[in-house]
Amino acid sequence: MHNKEPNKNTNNEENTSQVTDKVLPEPEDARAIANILKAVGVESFDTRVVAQLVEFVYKYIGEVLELSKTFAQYAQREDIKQEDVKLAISSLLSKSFTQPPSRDVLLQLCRERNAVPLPAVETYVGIQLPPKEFQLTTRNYQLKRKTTTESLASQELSETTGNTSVGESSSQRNQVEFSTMDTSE
Amino acid sequence: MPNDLDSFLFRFVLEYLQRKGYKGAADALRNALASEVPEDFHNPPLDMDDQVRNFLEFFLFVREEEKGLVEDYGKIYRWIDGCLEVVRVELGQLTYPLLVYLYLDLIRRERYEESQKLLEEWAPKFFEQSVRDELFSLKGVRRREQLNDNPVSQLYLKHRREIFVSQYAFELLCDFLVEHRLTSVFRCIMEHFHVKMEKDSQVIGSEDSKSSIGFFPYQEFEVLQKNEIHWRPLKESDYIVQEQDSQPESHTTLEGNTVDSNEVHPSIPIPKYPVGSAMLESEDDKLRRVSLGIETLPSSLMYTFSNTYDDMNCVDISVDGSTIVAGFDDSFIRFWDGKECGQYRLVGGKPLIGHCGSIYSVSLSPCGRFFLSSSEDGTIRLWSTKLERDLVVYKGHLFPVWSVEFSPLSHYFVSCGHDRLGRLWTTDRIFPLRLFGGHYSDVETIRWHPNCCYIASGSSDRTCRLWDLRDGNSVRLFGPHSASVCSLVFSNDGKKLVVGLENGQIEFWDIVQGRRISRLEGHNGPIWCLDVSKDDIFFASGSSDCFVHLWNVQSLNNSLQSTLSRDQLLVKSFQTKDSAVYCTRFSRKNLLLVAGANL
Repeated sequence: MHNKEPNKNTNNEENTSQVTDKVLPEPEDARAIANILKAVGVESFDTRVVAQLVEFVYKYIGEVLELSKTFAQYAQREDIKQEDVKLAISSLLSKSFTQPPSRDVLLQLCRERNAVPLPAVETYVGIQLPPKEFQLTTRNYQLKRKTTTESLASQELSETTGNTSVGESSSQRNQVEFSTMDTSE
Repeated sequence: MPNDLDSFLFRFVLEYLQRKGYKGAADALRNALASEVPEDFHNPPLDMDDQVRNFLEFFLFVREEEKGLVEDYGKIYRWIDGCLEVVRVELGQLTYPLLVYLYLDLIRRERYEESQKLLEEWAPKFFEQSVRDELFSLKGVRRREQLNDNPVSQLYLKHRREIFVSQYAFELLCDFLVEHRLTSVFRCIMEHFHVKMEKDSQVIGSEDSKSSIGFFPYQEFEVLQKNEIHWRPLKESDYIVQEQDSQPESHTTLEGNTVDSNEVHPSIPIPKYPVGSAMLESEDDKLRRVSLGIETLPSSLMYTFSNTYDDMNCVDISVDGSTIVAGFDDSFIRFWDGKECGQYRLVGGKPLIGHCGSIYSVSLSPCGRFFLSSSEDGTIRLWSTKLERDLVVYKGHLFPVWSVEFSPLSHYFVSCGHDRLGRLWTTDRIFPLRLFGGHYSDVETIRWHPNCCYIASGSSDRTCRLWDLRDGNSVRLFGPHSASVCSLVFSNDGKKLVVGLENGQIEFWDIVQGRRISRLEGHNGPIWCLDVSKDDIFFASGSSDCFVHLWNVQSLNNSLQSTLSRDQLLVKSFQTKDSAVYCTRFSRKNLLLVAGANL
């Protein structure tokens, strides 16, 4: 809910569901979703929102029912019972709708982390960056080193063909390193 | 006479045991008191203490099947409305939480139709106020099993609600409840509320009680008030390398702050910079700083972004006013270097690609050559303006990070997000050093104190907290506010905190004493940005209602009025042409820089 927009009225009258009602008959599910939105307090919404929500509801319920059927079969039952559905919902919850950990867990984490004293700071330096392997500008490729026989063979080859660029790459290596940025330029 | 009282009590206890179904205990008591139990006991003896008498008379008439809870609530609501002004203000604290607790009780006892009726009839009375979101959330709780999942119901059920009333008001309330036999309401109050009685009825200020609707942890508030805050500025020797530093100086110490001197030692290790470093204020800045006053208002410059298609989320301007960075919904960041592009029209703005979600906050370092960005994908990236690319990724929040800020002395930065935590990082470690946990809802904004020893965080649970960096504990709690907190700023002397809320109000808090100085109806929309001038005379607020207001806060030190009118403080008002204002910043030379987006 971090929506920053100016207080203009962006309500497009043509797009509200009330108008489309008169034009086309609406499926029952779409009407139900529109009612839910209004009950929660959303007064104006695009018709595409309703369509997306209907799709989402179908998909979610389909997943839940499939999983609960699996649970019912595991319990050697033909019909799906309420417990199957409950179990299915709770197992899907951690997979699809993750929430931040509960307050007690968070406070415990904080206590553990805050017990470590802060490390000292080196002086006179500008912004310090972490070790090379954690920077995004590190070389993320490795150059393959040729073995001695290969290099001898390539040397012969280069002598005969005059091609000097085979194999020899150390001189052309471009080293890009940014470990410390000194701002006292 | 003692016999009367005793026998009455025995009979009362017997009746209670029988009603609860403790047959064995009831029989045992009956046998033990066979001789002394009178037959009828409906009227307690007249010589009992009045309060005890009322209490007992009450419980005599309790029946398990209470009907008409909705009418009961209606009676209480109308009575409180019709009370004397003083009493109404005090007991007004009760009406909303009582509605919530009665609703939750009905759900718990599975009386669903009644609960819906209660909410339908009485919830609209509170829709205008800040608790609208809570009510909508509670509407979703329809069944007993859902009580555990809903965060609002959990908050209310786990914590007892504190009510501050005078003895007179509370006695009035009890008398009313007894007279009308509102037993369920009484029981609800006893179970869920913590009534704190004050002898003096003037203690409760009317402004405070109006806004104390919605959940607020009063007990924690009281505990934290006792903490001591070291608000004074840092000793210069701690962050500036002095010229005569030939002898070995002590390492930046972690010692406690001294209260006597005018300056404090930092409580966390901070970097030291040589004089003339780009990180510090230069002599030029100090010399050329415009001294502001009522006669000399600050010059202001606004950068308006066009054609952002409502995608721009955040803007930051550097302290010398030359660099601007903006973060967008399509995960791009663009920055403009004023020195290169020219003064009044910044074209170009190379898009920097790195994040995979909308950018919610950007923060430039004091030297202006680096900036941080926080995004919906849960990561924070450090970018270099010279190299025009990102350098490091900081992963820790797994949820959208709403705000990030570089410390005034660089090296450290803090971030806060949807996971209800604030985190302290250094630029050279990819894991956070401190976790600030304590808010009940996501943390929207986070700011450094000028002396780098404290951090303030504002959250959508309508409170702000002040955190000590050394041990990560919350040292102050500011609240309750009437809406969620959108923006914060510390005054440059370190004593005051200015809070901007989502409903356009601005609140001033005294950090040292932990109390609210005053409240101001600032804007008609959420206040996205606040900044204070370097000499603490003016502060500017920008909001989505397309205005930037300049306020004079010099007089705030003396006045202790609870609500200030706009005319008292408003000095100048700048109206933009339909542009929401995203960033207001006073440069080091007291120039007011503003950035906003014209859709």
